[in-house]
Amino acid sequence: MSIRSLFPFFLANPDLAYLDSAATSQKLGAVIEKERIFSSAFNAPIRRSTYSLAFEATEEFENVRGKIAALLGAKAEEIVFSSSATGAFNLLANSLGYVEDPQSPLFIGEGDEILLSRSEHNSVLLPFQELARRRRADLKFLPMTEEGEVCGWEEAIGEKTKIVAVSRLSNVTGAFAPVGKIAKAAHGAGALVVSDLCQAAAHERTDVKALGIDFAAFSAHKVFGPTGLGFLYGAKPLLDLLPPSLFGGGMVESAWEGKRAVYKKAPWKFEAGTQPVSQAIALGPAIDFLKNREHDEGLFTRRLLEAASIPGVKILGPLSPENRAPILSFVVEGVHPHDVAQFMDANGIAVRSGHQCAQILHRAFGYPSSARASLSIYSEMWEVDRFLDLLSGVRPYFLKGE
Amino acid sequence: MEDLSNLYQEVILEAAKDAHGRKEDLEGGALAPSSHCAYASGFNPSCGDEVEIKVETDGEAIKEVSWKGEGCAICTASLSIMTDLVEGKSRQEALSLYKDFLGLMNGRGAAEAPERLKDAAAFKGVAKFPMRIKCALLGWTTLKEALGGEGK
Repeated sequence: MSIRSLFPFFLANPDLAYLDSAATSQKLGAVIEKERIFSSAFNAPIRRSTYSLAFEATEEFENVRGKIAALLGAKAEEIVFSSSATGAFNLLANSLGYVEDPQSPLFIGEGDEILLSRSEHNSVLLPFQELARRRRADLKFLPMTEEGEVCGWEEAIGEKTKIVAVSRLSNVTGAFAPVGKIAKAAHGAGALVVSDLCQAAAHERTDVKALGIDFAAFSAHKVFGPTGLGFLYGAKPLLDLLPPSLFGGGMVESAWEGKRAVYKKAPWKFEAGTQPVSQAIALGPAIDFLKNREHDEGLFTRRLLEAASIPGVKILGPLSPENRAPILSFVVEGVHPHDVAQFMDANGIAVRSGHQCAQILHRAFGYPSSARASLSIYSEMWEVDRFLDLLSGVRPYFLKGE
Repeated sequence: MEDLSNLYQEVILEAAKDAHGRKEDLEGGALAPSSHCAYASGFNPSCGDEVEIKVETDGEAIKEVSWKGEGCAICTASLSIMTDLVEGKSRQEALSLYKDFLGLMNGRGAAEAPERLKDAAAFKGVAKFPMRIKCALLGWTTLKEALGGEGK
């Protein structure tokens, strides 16, 4: 049985070359089925009631926490459920903004530095930009090579650096960042390491402990799961120190009239309000699938990179297939990315166009936007063949007579 | 491909390649709005496209439209055809052409283009692509803002 047949989307769209998995992946049939079964037969509130159905729902929910932890090489108590990766990064940055004790390793104060790579997605950039603004800290950026790879961290990280955020895999350049090396330098300077794993989670088994990541996040919908669900990973001692920033039901031990409430321990103190329960439970089969996959994407990456030899096509990212995932952002000289995507759409190919929530990186490359073809585990070579074939036709179509 | 040629009419592709009114630099621009020179800038957040428009007037008459910006074929062609249409018209006529064009875009491809829209009628096909309507409208809405803001 082919991997593709596990994804009902492709039964419904057999002729479409879906090359936008970096934006959202298609969902496993087992995920869709699990959510349907839970919602239709086992739906109950978690962590609140004592009847058996509620207990079973709670157990299933917590099991998924354990599965995610195992996938990342972490402990279950180090995983916080959130609404999305964006939700997780906002939770982290907001909670850091609630730290009051200047002696805390999590305290960000005036003159401290938050250092980001230029490839950070807006969902990382903006929460930390706001944190820096509120705390009068300085937001700084790591240099990058011409091909958009992060560099120069040894020089950039200093004693004022409190946070270094580098996404493990860029949604634009498709390049894996040497997060392990950067973490070593950051820890040497007493800084915390934050890494966006949204893209990496779909293309590698990221081991947060081996890489030395202190905080990370990713979302379910990019790894064959439901939308509305994301995760924050935090190393246990840090998560214990981090105050909650979202308050309400489910995160409190006891609430009083005349004194401050006592909150639960991490990770539950961060999970106020009803969680995306059916989505979380439905993600279980996707995590099992991710753990057991054996998929070498090298062939796809190499073939995709052949786009670089098409006249007028410029790749935003490294040209070498090493340390790279099959995510290819490009511009066609003289043709706007929206026109490229429209041309592809008319010929049965779904590609992304725009700034891909990475305006800083696009400005650094000198283009306001780009088009992007991104593959995933279910991608097939005919899709890349069709893409390359169409890409050669873009300039002749739009610039004929020139 | 039929869909595509419906969207990218020959007249649109031609106008995108040889865009009338486009300037490398708008002399004066934002710095010099006066009784005979209006200016506005527009932005499309979904793609990051930006346009600046300068309108030189003589009383009520539009003497010259110049603009600066990078956009897709639809956006660029729309600006070019708009420039040709409104130059020599009165301010009121230009605003009324804007309303005609807006009506065409909101017509989901069913609206017939009034004759006075001339080449801009080629954008009728764009109305069937909701994601691209804002590309065709960017120039027009920016022009409207420039005309509304004149003399301020």
